[in-house]
Amino acid sequence: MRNVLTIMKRELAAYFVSPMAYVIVTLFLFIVGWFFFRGLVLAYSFYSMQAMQNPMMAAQINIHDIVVRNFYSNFAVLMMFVAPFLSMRILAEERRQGTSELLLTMPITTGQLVLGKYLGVLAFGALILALTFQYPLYLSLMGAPPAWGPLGAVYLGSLLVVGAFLAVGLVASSLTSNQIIAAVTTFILCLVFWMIGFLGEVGGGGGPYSELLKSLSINNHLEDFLKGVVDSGSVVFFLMFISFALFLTQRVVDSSRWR
Amino acid sequence: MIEVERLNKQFGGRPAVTDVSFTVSRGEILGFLGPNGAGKTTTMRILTCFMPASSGTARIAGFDVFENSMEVRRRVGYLPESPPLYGEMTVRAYLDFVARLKGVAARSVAGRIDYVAARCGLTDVLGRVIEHLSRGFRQRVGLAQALINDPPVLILDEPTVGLDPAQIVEIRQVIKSLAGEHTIVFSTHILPEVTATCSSVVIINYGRIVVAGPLAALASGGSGGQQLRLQVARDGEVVRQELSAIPGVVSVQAEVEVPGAYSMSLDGAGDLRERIAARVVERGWGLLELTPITPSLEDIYLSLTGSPARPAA
Repeated sequence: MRNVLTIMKRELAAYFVSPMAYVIVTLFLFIVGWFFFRGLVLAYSFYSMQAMQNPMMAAQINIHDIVVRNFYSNFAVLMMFVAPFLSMRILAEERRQGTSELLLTMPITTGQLVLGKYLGVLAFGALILALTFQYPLYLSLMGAPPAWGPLGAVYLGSLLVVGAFLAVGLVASSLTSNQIIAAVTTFILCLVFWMIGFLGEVGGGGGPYSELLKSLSINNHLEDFLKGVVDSGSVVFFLMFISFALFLTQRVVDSSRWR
Repeated sequence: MIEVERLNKQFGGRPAVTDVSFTVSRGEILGFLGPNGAGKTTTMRILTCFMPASSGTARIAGFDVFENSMEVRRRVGYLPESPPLYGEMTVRAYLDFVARLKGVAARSVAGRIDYVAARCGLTDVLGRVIEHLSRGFRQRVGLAQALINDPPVLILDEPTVGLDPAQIVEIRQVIKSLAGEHTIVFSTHILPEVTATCSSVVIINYGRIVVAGPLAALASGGSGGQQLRLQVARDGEVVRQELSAIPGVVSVQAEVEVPGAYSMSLDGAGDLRERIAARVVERGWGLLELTPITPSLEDIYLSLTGSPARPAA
């Protein structure tokens, strides 16, 4: 455990010395700010205007469904673009600069190495997620506090999605020493797992594999959390998804010794 | 301390190392010598548990590199060919990171860093970012990293490559000062390095050991005959003829670059130097130089690895 923490700390610190991380975070905050503005000012005010004419609708609208839910759904899509940039260097760079030779001859197991690396990048992903917490705070300051309970579920779901994207990125980064290839591979794989559920909808959703495809979809599992529901099935899905990716990475790194 | 037995390694059917066996005893410095691509790095990577061998065994301090990999890794300090450094870290942060992963107890980490820094001449640059250091200092950081947990065995892959002559001498001095407390294997393709530093040598070519043994034994075990270098002031065709005529002289060759200089091979029966000197003086050729040539490690190395001795003398 001590080894895992040592690797994690170094990994996390490495993000703060490269300009890359600051560029990504700045761009991220800029885009996320636009999402919030659009959600609150444009969409919510539009619905509010309509609700003034229609008392039935006024009874239904709430800040969670109209602002929070869309905002974090957009956040997840945005992270699909951000995560590859965070994870691409994680193992690819070790190979390129020859430090993998140091790490693989140290008295630590490959599992400890992979887990430490993953927790390092996950910590940075969690930090980015934490930066979005300013928006619920603004809502609360403006006198329209979101429902904190469901918001907790949203945050748990978002963290798990970010964790899944970064885990995919870890696998991709272990396969190559070229960071661009790692990033593109990560993005494509994330997109596949995001959209694979749509395949299940083909032909009205009654196909033989429709349930299977839908339950493999990151998007479908995230939906529950965004509604404010913590479905243990979805939690298990994400944890298994991440564990499998870590396992694959450990095998890839270990097998690189034999080649 | 290190026992290697019939080590083999193939990469996709192409042999990189074939039947390599040698032993290194405690406190010894072994020079691992061979041209580029001879299998030096591969052998070292097997010894450091970076990759497994295809067949054969290697034991370090009694632990098999494959079966007891963790025990071996704890006991080996390894400096790969290009020092494995994180450019964005300071020297101190980097050494701290390595020390913790190598299991140095938390309370003694700072002490160890100061010790290896002093040992490798890094004390003044501990706070500097590695990226901004010169090549020579990076190599020292690499060496400091290998030493950080005081391992009994050090494996150094071409530790002096790419350094300037002054830095090479410094690094050699550091390595030499480590002998005794550590058992050291270091590879190089530069010959004087071995003569300057090692107590024994393994010469490897095309993945096979060509010769192995203590340095002293190798240097004296030449071709049997004796070699002389002679230079006279007043040269002429007659000089070569008369010298060849002396009994015991096998051949006389004029050196192209230096007029009046000859290299002579003798059959080794008795010392002919006196007779040759007397002949030169008697003829009034003007004796400038008469030197016995002991075969250098370079000659042994080149004759064994099969490259031409020199660009045709």
